[in-house]
Amino acid sequence: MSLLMQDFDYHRPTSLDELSALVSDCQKQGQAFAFSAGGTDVIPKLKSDTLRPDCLISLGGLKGLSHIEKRGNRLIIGSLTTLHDLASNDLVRDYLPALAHAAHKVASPQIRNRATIGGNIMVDNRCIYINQSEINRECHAPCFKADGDVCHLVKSAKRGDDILCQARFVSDTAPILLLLGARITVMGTKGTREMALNDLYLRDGIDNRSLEMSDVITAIEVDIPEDTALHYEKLTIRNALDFPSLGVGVRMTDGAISVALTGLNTLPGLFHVKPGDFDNFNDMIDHVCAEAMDFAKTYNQDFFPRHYRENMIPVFIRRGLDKIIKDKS
Amino acid sequence: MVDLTKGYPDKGYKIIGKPVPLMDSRAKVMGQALYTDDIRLHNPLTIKILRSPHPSANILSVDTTEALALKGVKGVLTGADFKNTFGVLTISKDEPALARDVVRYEGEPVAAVAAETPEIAARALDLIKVDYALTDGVFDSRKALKPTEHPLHPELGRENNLHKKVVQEFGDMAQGFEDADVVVEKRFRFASINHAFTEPHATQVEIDNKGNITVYSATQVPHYLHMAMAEVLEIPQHRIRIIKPHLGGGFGGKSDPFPHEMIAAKFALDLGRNVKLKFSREEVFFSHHGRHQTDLTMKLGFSKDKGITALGLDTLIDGGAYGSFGIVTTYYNGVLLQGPYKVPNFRFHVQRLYTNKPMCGAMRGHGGVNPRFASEVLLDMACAETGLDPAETRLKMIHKENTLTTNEYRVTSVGLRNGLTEAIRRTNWHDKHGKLPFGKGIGVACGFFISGSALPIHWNKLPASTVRITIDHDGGVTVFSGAADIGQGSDTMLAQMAAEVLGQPLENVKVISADTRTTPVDLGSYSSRVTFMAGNASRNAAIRMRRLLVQAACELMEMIPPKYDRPEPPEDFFRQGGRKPDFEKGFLGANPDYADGFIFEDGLIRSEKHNASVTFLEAVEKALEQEGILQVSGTYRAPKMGGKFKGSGAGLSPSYSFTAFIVEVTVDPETGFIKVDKATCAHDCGFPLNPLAVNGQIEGCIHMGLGQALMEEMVYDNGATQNPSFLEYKIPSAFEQPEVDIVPTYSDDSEGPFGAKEAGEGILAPIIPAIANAVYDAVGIRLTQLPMRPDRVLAALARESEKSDQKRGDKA
Repeated sequence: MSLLMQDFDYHRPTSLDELSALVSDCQKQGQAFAFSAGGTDVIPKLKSDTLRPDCLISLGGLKGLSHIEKRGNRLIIGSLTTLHDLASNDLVRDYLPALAHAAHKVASPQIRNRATIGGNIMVDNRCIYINQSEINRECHAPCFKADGDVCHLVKSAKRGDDILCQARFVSDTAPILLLLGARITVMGTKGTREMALNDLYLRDGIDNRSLEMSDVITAIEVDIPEDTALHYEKLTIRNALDFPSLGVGVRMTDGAISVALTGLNTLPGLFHVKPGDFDNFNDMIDHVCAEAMDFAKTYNQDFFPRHYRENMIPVFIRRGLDKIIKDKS
Repeated sequence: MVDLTKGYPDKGYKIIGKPVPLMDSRAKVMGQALYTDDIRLHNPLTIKILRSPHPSANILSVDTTEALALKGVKGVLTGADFKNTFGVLTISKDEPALARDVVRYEGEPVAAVAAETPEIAARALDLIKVDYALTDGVFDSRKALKPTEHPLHPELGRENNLHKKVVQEFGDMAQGFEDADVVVEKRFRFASINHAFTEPHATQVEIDNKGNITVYSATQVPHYLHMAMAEVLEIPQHRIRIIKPHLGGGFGGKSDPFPHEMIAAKFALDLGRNVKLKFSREEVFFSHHGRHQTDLTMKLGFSKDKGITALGLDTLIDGGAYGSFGIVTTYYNGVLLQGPYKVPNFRFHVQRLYTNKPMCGAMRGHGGVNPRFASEVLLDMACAETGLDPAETRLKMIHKENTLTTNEYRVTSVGLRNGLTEAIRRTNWHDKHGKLPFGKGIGVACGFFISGSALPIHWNKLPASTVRITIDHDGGVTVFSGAADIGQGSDTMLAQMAAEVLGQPLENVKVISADTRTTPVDLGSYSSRVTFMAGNASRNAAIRMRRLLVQAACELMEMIPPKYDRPEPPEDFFRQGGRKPDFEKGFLGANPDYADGFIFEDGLIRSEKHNASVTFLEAVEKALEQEGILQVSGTYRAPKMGGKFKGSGAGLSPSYSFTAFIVEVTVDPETGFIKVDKATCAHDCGFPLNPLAVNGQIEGCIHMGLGQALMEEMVYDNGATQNPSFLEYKIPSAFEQPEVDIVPTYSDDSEGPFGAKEAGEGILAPIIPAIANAVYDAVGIRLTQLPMRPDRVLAALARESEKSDQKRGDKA
């Protein structure tokens, strides 16, 4: 309740080498460490005492990770690019306008000035019972994500379950990146590797990313699509500030349709349908909508009641498609 | 630049009626204004409060040993350290500074620590061991009506959790409904909402070597805090000085004395150290004091020829754990329906219940907002059923000037008819209402509010407001007032009064306000009383000062001083109103004309008749000769008024404001989203003293009303506050603010200062039903629950289409 951060060591390395050295020091000394890029997700957790690192390592000082460049038909986005820079960058606006739009839909100008694209795809899953005042967590008894022994959404959940925690995935930029088949470059203790963004996400609300603690995403790479038939729309009661109660990315390629979802489950959803498998266009849309609704695993942990959010999935998918079709014509 | 004076009569004033930026606005936007937490006292201790994580529990023990042993901790307080409870109303002093034996809501203060640093204080909180025995809480007002062996407040001796019940009935309800062409009835439900002011509560206390304390606090009511603190701390009032620094929003949420203020002062007294304390946003939500969650059923009888024939309502308001302003809220949920239209037969039954939730209290539009929603929606339904135009019908029904309402409120000035007429014209109402395509709608609603309560909440015979004005040898005018400028601009208003009367530029007038040592008593900034009451007091003080200066000028010019037609009554300037004022003979109000044959301008005092003048400074110097200081006071007291029945004092006001809104919306039938496209407002605030400030209040009320209408809601899960943050408690962003059109609307209130009435609260209520009525016009649904969330819109649309399917089926 004090909203005072606990003491921790703070480091701000300026090179990847320095970062690696710091990480291995922490590991040797058994210190719990956490990374902070823009800090907009980490600082509130420190203040609400849901994150207690011995050592906070800011990535903000790393050089060369906040550039955006075009290499052939690929766009390479440094992971420390702020959401503001991403949304206003000419290359992104020209080649990936839907990504610029999605980045612009995050929070507020103040937050977009600090928050980074790397941070946004890594943003922790959220739940009304964990992203909460300390007093409220105490009142309800601490949940699994708060190192407690209960889930207030699924009362029957118990330790050992496959999925312990239903905290929602809430990244606004992930759907468009997933639809574009984005790859991420990860630097870890054993060197640098590439992986599909889609492989980053795991099913549990607590351990929701497939990275090691020491891994750092350095870049996001996207093939520039031949057309830009993509659209992202989010459901929020206000036109600013909020995490998506539901976010839908839609892509149309040669008649095939892909849909990516955020805010509806512990991880993002990604679905593809192609015309050959269906009698007509409407059947195809109905099918992907049904798949998306099946995927949704909603609880009353948001401003909007769960059924409303589910019912909005097909509405948002259809609207996204309408928008794309309208933009094309 | 838009000319904000356009549309209002030119009365020849130099400062009154002009758009004047608030005196402190530059300091505020430049970051120079000092709010409570900005003040730097010498070496203060930091206070932190331990709050209950349980909404309902008995406290078995509180062990502070370890906390006290922590280096840097200077003191720990628990409930045992405070004997007296307190409350803003003398009739419900039910709140302890720290919980004793029992906690009644999640977040209730249980213990407090004063330490050398915030970090030490926070660590000490973790070391306090409280042993709770959890008890069954009551979280719902309907359940709170049921008998229980353990009510929250056993001291009331009740079998259930009822705090206050009010029933009033006027006329013949049965006959009223008999006379109606149509009777409509609905149940309405309203979420509790928070003021969401920008500045969290904060208090700092400075102590001198004689044990006198100066309390800097973010409060709307320095005077009430002064009294409550003396009682809780058991020290004489003169040892306490309350100062309200710049304040970042109140809206009623800082109009009670608070536990943290008592705690801070107690630490300063006990430890002999300066102390400081500020809330986190979470703590603001735990303290709450917001609008009551409300469950009301209302029935309206309406006749095409006579208008409203009867209005009845049965209401439960969920008060939370303590009393606060709740008894007043209980009355206001009924009585504020006595305008803006005549209600000849009227009955209300309102019950306030105690529950194990943060307490509710006063909030902008206090008690009148929710019933206003219900009555304006029902009136819209009655118009729809009888085929009448809802705007023209309202226009006809608005109170006439100089009316006595059914419950004997004295309605004096009414300027709304012109305003609503113009709003109907500007919005092309008749081309739109009922004629827009599906999804587009236009709606109307009206409202009514008090300009201050005529009766004080602590009964006394003192003036409701007193203002002192001094002029120094340098010619500078200083206005001293206890009124609290909470951002609404009362300091500027007080200065305008004095500047106009004394013919001075505004910058020559300084205001010292809300300091209980140096300023005369003012009851505080609530119930929209300050402009009317403190404004009148300032104006009258300035007139007294003007007379002294004219006297001095005459001596210098060797002229005979003017005789004033109306000799001053001994107590104040006002002719007291009789119980039923004789309007035919002309009510003699609060505004004595100060025309005296002299002109104050350009630094001169000039005789109109003779070609002679002296400088303002010469007159000041002359006037100073006798006493060495030049000082006067002016007062305001409300005329005697009101009926003889029990509870007749509730809602009595020397004047009432009137508001109308026409709102245009777009409803998305697929998502249920309501977008407010445009709000056209006509607000009769009498004569607007400062159109810039009035327009600011209108825009702010629209924004705040929009929040309650569309999204704001305190969410509780078995008593636990689920959304104590500005992320999860949704207030609208700038994107949601609609286009605003303000129709210049005015009356000349014979008792208001320069004709003015309130402009801060009454505007808020009617915007909400106007939105609901526009939604009906757009998509044919009646929403009866706030906030009007998209899912509720869809549910109502589904019910509506089911109904029409059924009708079609019946026909087939």
